[in-house]
Amino acid sequence: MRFLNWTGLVLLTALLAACGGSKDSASGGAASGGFGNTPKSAPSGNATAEEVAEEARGDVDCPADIGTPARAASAPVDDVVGVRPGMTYEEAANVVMCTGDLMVVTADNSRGFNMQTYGQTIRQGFNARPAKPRIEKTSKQIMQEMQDDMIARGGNAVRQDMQPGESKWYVGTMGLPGQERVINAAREEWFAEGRNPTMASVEQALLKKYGTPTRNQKSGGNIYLSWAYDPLSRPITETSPLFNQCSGNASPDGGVNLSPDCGIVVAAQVVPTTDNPDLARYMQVGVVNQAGGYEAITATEQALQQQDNERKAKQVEEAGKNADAPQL
Amino acid sequence: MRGWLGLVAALLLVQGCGGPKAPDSASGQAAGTASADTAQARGESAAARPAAAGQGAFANRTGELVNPDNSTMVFLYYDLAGIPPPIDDWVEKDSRVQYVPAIEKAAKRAEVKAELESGVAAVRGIGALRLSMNANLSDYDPSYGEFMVRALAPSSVVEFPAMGQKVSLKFSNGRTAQIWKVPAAEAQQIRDKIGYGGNVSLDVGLRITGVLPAPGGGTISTEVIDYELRDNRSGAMLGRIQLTQ
Repeated sequence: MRFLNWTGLVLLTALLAACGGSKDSASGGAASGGFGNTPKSAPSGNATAEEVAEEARGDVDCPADIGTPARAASAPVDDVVGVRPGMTYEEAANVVMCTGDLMVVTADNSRGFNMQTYGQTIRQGFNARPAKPRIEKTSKQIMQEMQDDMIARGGNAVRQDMQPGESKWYVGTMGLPGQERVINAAREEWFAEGRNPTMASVEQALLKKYGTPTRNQKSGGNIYLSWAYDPLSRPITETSPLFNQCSGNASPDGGVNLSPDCGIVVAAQVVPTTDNPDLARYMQVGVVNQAGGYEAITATEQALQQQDNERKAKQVEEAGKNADAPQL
Repeated sequence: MRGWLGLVAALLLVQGCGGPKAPDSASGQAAGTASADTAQARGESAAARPAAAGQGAFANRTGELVNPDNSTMVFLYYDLAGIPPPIDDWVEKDSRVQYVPAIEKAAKRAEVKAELESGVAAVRGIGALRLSMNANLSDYDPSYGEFMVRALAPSSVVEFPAMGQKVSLKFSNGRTAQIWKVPAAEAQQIRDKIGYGGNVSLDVGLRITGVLPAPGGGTISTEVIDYELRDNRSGAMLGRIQLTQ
């Protein structure tokens, strides 16, 4: 079983700020989260959220043009708002950006699988969330914010990562550089204030899309649903030895387990508002292809190793022709 | 999973190959001749060999090993991968050579080297394995009418550590091989035989389908051909499964 290895917090200063360019550009994609070219210089100056999004997104065609074969009719539903395992990095980024005009994709290098890449850079995933206005601050303002944050932390103040009406994504990918494909995806949606759906309606919507869950739990007012399948795409029932082995993760901030013994796993969590347990505050839905992800990592490692072996063999061959002889 | 440790002499190696279906020394040698089509013989590099080692690449290997020890599996890995085994390095690291008085070192070195070379030669032409291990059998799943032989699961890895290497063995068709379909009526009889917390042994026949070299020891891929399940306490046969090819 492979475990997602959080390699530490990395400041994501290189926010997506690219425009245009080829969707197939591996280097550009790696730098900008999958779309467009690397910006010549970091954008500066005040800008509205729309302007920031425009700088970052470039030309986005919606609906996204998907070349990956569609899911077989008999296969389990495995997409989160159109993003599903097996899609290319670029396709997934395109679909995600089409979910909102302000949605911005950012390559995430702060987490990923701990694997030998032989010096190559693999795009192991991206985050996406709505663009925020860019405001240039004075040193005095920055100091004041830092002080406010410190006081808030000292008082255990609750600071939500998301605001009502916003959504965010994490999409994990794996493959040789430029050929990465989705192995897992998760999305969190905070419902707009005053427009919160009922918990029951959200649950029903999930059941309508994904079918009868293999696990349905309610705890602390939250609803937890799971649709787990074995590698032969058979639902994992509670009598299966895999029932407690194949679990998913609904949160975009969570890790992911990959086992070749498990297939597609969709997980969902619905959380109620604090003042009315019948209304949904936010919802998380995640999907992972465990066996597919495991195989993708294994195949990528093997291919990278093969490339490295060939590089070394070539160097040795060239050294036999051109290298200097030692002076003895 | 496997606890056999240490260097084993060529004599033991031959004994290890001497099970009911194991090739005798003569057939081992014959197979060795047949396996002359190695990477070195074709002038391929060691790096290029794994890519070619796909389905059917080992079809001309007819020999079988029965419950090979760790050292034999390391020898086999080198042979399958087409990588020259570091025999001289192994000889120098052998404790019998390291701790023998200096005056006897040369003779001991020659003796150990001969053992290792004999062991390496004995695995040429090996294309099949038969292993005995714990089946790690699941309870019966009435939803699909099956037990799962988790020892054969895709995640299952059998490791053979020896001589500073660790060779892993995996089951390429484990996804389907692990499923043992049993009608519900028979399943209850099997559950009764096994009892609570029963211990079931697995005797599995494997065909080698690939090898992936890696630093510190690579991975041998195998295809499950057939297997038998027995209750360890009573020795009763629980099932004999032949996988469709």
